[in-house]
Amino acid sequence: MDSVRPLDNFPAIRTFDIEEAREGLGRIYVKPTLALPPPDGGFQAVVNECRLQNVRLVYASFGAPFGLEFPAADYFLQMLPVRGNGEVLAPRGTLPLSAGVGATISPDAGYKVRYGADYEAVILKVDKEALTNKLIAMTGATINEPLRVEPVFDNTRPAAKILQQYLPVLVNTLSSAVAPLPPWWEIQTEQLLMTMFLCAHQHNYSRLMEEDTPDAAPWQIRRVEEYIEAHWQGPITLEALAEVAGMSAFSLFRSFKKKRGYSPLEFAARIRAKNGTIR
Amino acid sequence: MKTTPLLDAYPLVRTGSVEELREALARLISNPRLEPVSRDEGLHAVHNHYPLNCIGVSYGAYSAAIRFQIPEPKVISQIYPIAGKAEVTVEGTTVTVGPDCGAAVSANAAEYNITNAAGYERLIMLVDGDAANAKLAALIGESVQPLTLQPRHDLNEPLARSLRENFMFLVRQLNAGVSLPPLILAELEQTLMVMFLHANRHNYSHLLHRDPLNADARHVRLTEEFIEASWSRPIHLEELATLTGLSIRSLFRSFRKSRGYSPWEFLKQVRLRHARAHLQRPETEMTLSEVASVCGFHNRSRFNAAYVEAFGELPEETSKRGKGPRLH
Repeated sequence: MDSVRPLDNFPAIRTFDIEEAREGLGRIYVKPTLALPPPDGGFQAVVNECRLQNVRLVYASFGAPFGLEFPAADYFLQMLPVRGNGEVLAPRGTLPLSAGVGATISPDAGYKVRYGADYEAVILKVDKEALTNKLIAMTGATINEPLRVEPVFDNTRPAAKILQQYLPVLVNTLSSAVAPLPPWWEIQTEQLLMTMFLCAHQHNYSRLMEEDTPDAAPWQIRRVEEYIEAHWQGPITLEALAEVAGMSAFSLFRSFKKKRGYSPLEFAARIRAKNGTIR
Repeated sequence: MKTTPLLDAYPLVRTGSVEELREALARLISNPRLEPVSRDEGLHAVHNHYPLNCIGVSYGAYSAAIRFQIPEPKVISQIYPIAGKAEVTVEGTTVTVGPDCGAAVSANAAEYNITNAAGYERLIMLVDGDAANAKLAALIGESVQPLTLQPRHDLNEPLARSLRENFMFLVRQLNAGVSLPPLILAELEQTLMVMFLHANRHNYSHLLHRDPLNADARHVRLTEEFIEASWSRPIHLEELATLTGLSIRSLFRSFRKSRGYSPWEFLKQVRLRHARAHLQRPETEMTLSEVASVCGFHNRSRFNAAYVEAFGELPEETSKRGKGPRLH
């Protein structure tokens, strides 16, 4: 079923010429240099690119084995091969690429890639500043050391599976979308993608989103419950609850669920049910 | 062909009784009235429900034909038929829902009837009406009257497909027993809400698709709503940038251009307004300094100066009139 390529309605590069392909890639990423030229004949670059505001979804296939070298840049790249093989040569080692085995590149270091002839991949490109802002909003963290993501994408983690299952949904719907997409649709979709990205990857701030962050004290949980009991008639936002508890939304949710067996939003739904309306 | 019920881990009711089904549905939606179309058909009804914050995911399967009447449902229904057919009538418009066509029903619809054929199965995304209005107001940058949806929902339209696929992603995860991390769940709910507003035709559709030249006003309005909701805590620049998807510089430029002041000045005014409201409350036990501090002013003399500039009198004077806080 490869008659229709992902994101074909967003064509970015269609060429047999390696130089032209490099120019085109320079408009999506930072312009690469040629590390390993393709053999004569067979090179056919097909690259599609759907731009949201701070996130881009790219599909790429080149039809011939070759290699590129990319300089350091200001974005995160998650490569999700669809078929074929390749490898990434990053400062910290060589990462294999094959269907289901992806790799993620963090900003601020150059890297090389080598692709096999039948390599095809979907690539998620996320702006560094936007992702860092999202991390701050999610955890309340102060960011001194730049966000750095584990290059090997461990797709056995539950949150990694969620991202892996969501991307085809998104690519599918985008592939039948008519540009231009409504701006708020784009903004909200990329907020969701960035949330999933930060949950799916291991990174140097993962611990803020995991088990060993301090638990909410009983009074914090009670304050959140009281707030929900008083405000059940309106929409209840994560930010408001985090503020009431005086801790990050993430830690609050986790402690609440641990102590009560359900999340604050589920608690809100129960209060609403008790008061006669369920949504 | 019998399909496997969806969301089976979240049962609301399993019953052969129309009355029991009615009682169960009354917990989701206001005033449902149900009657079997034919007394001879045996009913087996299954309804499952998973509530989120402002969205609920509901599955219903009915072995016999039933007529539902739901005047003023108080909650928005986005109906996705899975098997069989039904006729949905909303204020005189009848939509036959099936593989290519769903339906959307406003929270305040005066007339809302469904007659389903035997073997009908459907998923419903229930959306809180107030939450939908609040989201809409935030997106278009002005206050809104209640949302009035066009009942016919063409499932082949690109944005409608997108909404459905995102909704079905959530259904599949729930079905598989995956517990989605809360922050992902909350963000997914926001996404469904935004897509819901774009994928349906309603009385504000034209404003959601209008000229991006108005983007300035929308960003400013969104920022203002955020500040109004979060005035009592420190607000970070990054939050405003994340919220609008703009760089901090362009957000401030938009603000200056359409309002003539910065987001911080707006925040100050909001906090002063809250302080004034508090000072006018006779029952408060707080001191003036405490009121100032709760409203984000940690320096009394600066608070006084800002207050006088905004309201033309000292906080003490407001307080005296309202017999409010003790004068410290």
